[in-house]
Amino acid sequence: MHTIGLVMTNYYMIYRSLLMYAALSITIAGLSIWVSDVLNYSVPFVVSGGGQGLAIRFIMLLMMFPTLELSKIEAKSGYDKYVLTLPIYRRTIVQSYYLFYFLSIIIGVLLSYGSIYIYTLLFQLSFNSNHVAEWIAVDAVTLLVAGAIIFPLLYHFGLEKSEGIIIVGVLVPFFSLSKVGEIRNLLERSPLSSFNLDLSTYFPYLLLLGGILVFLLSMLIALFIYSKKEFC
Amino acid sequence: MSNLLEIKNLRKSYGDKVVLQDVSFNVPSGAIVGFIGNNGAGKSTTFKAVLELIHKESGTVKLFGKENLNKEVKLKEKIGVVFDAINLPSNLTIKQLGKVFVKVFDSWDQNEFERLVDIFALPRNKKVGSFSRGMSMKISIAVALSHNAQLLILDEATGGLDPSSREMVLDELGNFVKKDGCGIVLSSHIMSDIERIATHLVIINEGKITLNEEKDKVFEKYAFVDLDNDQLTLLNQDIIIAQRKHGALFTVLVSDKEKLPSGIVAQTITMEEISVFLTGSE
Repeated sequence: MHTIGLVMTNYYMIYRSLLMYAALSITIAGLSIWVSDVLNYSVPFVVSGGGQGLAIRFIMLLMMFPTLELSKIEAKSGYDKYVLTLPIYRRTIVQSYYLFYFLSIIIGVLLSYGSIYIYTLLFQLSFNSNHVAEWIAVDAVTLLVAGAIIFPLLYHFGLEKSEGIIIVGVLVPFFSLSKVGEIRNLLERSPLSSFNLDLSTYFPYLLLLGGILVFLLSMLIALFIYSKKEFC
Repeated sequence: MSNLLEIKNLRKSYGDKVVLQDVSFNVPSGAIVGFIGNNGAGKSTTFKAVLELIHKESGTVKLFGKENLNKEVKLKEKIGVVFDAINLPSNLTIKQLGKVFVKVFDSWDQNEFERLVDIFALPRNKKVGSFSRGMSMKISIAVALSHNAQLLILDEATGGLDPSSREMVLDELGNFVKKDGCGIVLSSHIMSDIERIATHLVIINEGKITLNEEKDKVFEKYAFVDLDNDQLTLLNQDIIIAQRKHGALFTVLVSDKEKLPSGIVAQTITMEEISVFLTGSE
């Protein structure tokens, strides 16, 4: 119940931005797919999947901005301290943050998949669900890792330094996971190849599972930091 | 009278700077404790230590007889908090606050919240972040009074209020404390507010408590006396609360004017004078 209250607070704090960014990201995604179709371009060093991959990245990234803005809004109003005066355990506060962030990623995933599906119908392009799922999984994992880096740092260094932390937190996983193909190659090599996994089907799920594990580990670290933190 | 809050020998420092030294006072049931001190004297730090926003170095803090508030979070249902710079979520409207707090507080009383919002004439559909300081204080007070709290911790809660709003807030606080088992600790720079509603006075200066007394007793028994050095030596040391030197004379605050040696004239005291004296005395 308390977690719901905190998640609702977070939602009310940013729902206008969330809607605005959703509209913006869908528009940019559409443009990206349309331009890609017209010009037949691809940007392999930035993102795999050409226009569709780029569209997914726009949606996923833009849907994260409002959630990451939360910390700034809270620090500015003093709510980050006020929340500690409520009858809520510190661990519930941390969990609600992680839950809200996770829900934002889910919204991004659904919005990405839905948008790509509709745009491919509109522009009469081919829709390969396995590819789309893999691109979305890569970006979802990237954002999970970004969150896993950002939240413990925010709790440790304070919400006042949120801008720098968010930039670092987003850039590090995006650069490292842009080489996600290497993870796939690893799975195809011995000894993991002996599992005979159908990577075209399972790779996105394995990737997501890894991301979620990192995210949960980060939550435990954040819980530890937050439980010891002083709010002067 | 049972104590809602008991603070004993509370100590806190940041690096080398000691900000609270052996702070001790109680908030009994039915009392309004006026917590007075200059900026930086340690009032907010005391409140933060009570609410466990910061860790205390030593001493004990008992709320409703229990320690470790962070482990006994249910106790926070019984504590209403209004802080000067610790505020409600800024992007929420009053309507949204009601929806959130009904999930956060088991004892949330939406009817009482609505009543207070009406009394304080607050707009329901405006973001609280766009409120003036006075309106922010009023909505924070409305929240603090709407979950059947028994103890209110108010840090500069009447600051920024216009005179009529201050009257309304003080009336509400007065009504709150009349309820069985309720009490308030209120820090304020506005001495008229403290004088009007406080039953107890606690004055803090540079992290040390310089006065901890029932207000009526202070005005009945305490007095200022101007003495020269010889007269000062005649004074019973037990009744000296604080003294200040003015050239050849000393102004001394005594705790019992009945115990003054004959011939020494006691001066009546005001809230303002005692506050200024004890927040800056040697």
